[in-house]
Amino acid sequence: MRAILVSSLILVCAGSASAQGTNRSRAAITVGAGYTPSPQTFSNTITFESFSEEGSLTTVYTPKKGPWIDTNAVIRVWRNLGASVGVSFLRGSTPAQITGSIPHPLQVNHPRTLIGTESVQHTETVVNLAAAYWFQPGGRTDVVVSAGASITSVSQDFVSDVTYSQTFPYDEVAYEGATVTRGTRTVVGVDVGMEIGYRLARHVGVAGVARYSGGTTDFTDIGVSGFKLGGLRLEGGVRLLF
Amino acid sequence: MNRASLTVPICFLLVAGVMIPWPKAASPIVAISSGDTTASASQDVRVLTSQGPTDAQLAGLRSKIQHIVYIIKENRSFDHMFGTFPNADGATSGHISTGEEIALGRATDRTSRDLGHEWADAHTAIDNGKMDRFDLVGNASIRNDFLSMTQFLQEDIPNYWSYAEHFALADHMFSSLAGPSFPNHLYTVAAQSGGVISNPNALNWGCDAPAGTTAQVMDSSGNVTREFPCFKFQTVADKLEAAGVPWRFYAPVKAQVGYIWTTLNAFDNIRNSSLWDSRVRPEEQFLTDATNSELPAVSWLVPDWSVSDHPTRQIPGGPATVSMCEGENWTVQQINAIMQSDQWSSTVIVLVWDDFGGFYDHVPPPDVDRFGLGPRVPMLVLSPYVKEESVSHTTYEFSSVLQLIENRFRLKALSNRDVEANSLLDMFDFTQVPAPPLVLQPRICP
Repeated sequence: MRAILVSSLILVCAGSASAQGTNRSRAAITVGAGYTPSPQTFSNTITFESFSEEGSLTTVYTPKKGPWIDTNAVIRVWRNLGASVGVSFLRGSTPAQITGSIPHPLQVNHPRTLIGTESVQHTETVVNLAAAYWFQPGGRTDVVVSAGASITSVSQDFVSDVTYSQTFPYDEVAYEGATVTRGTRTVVGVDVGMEIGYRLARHVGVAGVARYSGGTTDFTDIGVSGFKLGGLRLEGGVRLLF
Repeated sequence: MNRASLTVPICFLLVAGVMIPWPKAASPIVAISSGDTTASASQDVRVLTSQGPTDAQLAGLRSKIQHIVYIIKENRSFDHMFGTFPNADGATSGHISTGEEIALGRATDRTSRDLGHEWADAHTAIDNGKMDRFDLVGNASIRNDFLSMTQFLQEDIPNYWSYAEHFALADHMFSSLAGPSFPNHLYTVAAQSGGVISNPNALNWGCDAPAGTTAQVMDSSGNVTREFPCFKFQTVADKLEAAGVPWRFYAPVKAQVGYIWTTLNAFDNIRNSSLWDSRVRPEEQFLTDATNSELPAVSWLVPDWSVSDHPTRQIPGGPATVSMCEGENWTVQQINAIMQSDQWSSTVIVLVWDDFGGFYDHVPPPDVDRFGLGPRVPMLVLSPYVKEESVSHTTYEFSSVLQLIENRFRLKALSNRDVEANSLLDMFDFTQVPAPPLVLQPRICP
C-alpha cells in the first residue's frame, strides 16, 4: 500500500510541471465525507478466575466503514509549497462479537461456551497538520500532496465484563449483557494525504481525497495493547477556492 | 516530464519523514488495510455472577489467610441474640398469631425446655414470610411465658457482644434450611442436606446409628420418605482431602451427647474410611492444637452438648441444662487460644449458630429452593482482616462459609447453594492494618 501511494505521488508530481503557474489559488477549503475502505478488525482477550479455574473472554470488534466527516484547508505559502490543516471526525457503533470460556462451577475442565454480541461506541477525531505541495497538472485540475503529523483523539468502548445466567446443573450459560469500559487516548502519529481538485467555477470546485493518518496506542487499564488508530480514508467533497 | 517536478515531491516526503519522526509504534502503510490487534490482560476483571468475588479479593484471601475455623453452635436466632445490637437489623418486639405485637422478653441463661424447631415448626413460624407465628412452635409458651419471644441483651452475652463490636457481625445470615440441626449441619459441610429435612429419630445421627434409625428426606417433587442417615454425597472435606489441603473436624466423640452434631458421621466415605480417625478429632483437641499453633488449613469445631448454647430441659438422669454463659465461656476459651497463637495473624474464625431454635426473628428468609432458607441465625466473623466494628447486611447462609473455603483453596463448588451464595469476602479488607487479637475473660456464670 505504501508503494502504491508513493507511486501515485510520483505520477501526480510528474504531471504538475507543465501546469504550474496557471489559475493559482492562494487557499482552498474542502468540506466532505468519506469512508475507510478496510477498517481494522481488532480484538481483546480478558482472562479471569471463576470457580477456581481460569476463564477468558475474547471480543472481536468490526468497525464500520464510516462515514467520516472531513474538512481540510490548504494555503499556499511560497510557490507550490504550502501548509494544510484538517479535521476529520468519525462516530459510530461497532459490532462486538463476544466469545467466552466460562469455567464450570462444579466440574474441573468443563468450561461452558458463552456467545454474545454487543454494540459499542467508537469516536475518533483526527487533526492533521502538514506541509503541502500544491500544483496543477493542467486545466482545471490541481493536486495537493501533504505529509505531516496527525493528532488523533479516540474514544473506544471495550467489553470488560459480561453477565450471564446459569441454572443448576450449570452445563450451559446464557449471555445477558456486557459491561463496557470506555478508553480514551490522544495519539500523535503520521499523516500523509493527496487531494485532487477540479475547479467548477472561479471559487468553487470538487475534490477527492485519499488520506492516511496512523498511530498506535495502548489501553493497558482495560487490557488492550497495540490498538491501531486511523488508517486510510477516501473522501470526496466540495471545495472553495480563494 | 520535468525531472525537477518529479523529484521534489519525493524529496519532500522524505524530508517530512525526517522532520516529523515516524511514531515509534506506528504501523507501516502496508498494514493499514487490514490488521488484527489481539491483546490479553490479567487485570482485575470481574466476570459472571453478581456475587462473585473479585480477583483482588481472591488474591487478598489467598495471600493473607492460611487457616479457616468454622465454629458451629446451637439453636439461637438473630433477634434472640443480637436484636438490640447497634446498627443491626434487629427487633425488640414481634407479632404473634393473634395479630398482637408483643415486646420480646428477656432471655434467661438457662431455659426450662427446648422449643420446637423442626421443619413444621419453622414453616409455622415463618408463616409464608409474615414471621408471626413463633408463638405456635412446639413449647413456645407455657403459662404465657412466651419463651420463643425472648431475647438477650448485651449484659447477658457480653463476650459474644464484644466479638461483634470489635469484628464483624452479619445480620442477614440465614440458616440454610427451615428446620432443625441435622440437615443444617449437613449444609455446613456439604452445601446441601441430601434432601434431609429432619433430625434422625434416634440419639445417634450417622452411619453408626442403630438399625431402623431414619431421617425424613424430601425429593424434588416434595415427596417425603425416611432414610437411614448415612449418605454418599460429597462434602468440602472430600474436596480438601483430594486437593491435599489439611483439615480436621473437631467434634464430640461417641460417648458424648454432642456426638449427634459430629456431622461427618453421616457420610459413608468418611465414617467408614481412615479419614474418620485421622481427620475427625475430639473437640478437646482443638484447644491443644490451637494453643500449639497446629491448626490445619480448615477446621470445623463443634461443641459438646453442655456448652453448645442449645436450650434444653432438665431430663432426670440426663445432662444438666445448658447455660448460655458456659457456652459463651467455652467459645471464648477456644477463640482465645487461636488469638494467642502464632496462627491468629492468618486466620478467619466464623462463628455461627446452626438453626433458629424456635426463637423469634423478624426477617423473612429468602426463598431460594424447596429447603430454604430458614430463619436468621447470628454469624460472627473474626480475623485480622475482617472489617473491624462492622455489620454486614449481605444475605448469607452456611454455604457461604464453604464458598469461602473453596475460594481460598481453589476448590470447585458442591451444589447450587455454594455456587449461588453470596461471598463472605465483602466482610474483609485485606489491605487494612491487621486487627489485633481480642483476648476476653471468661465470665463467672450464675
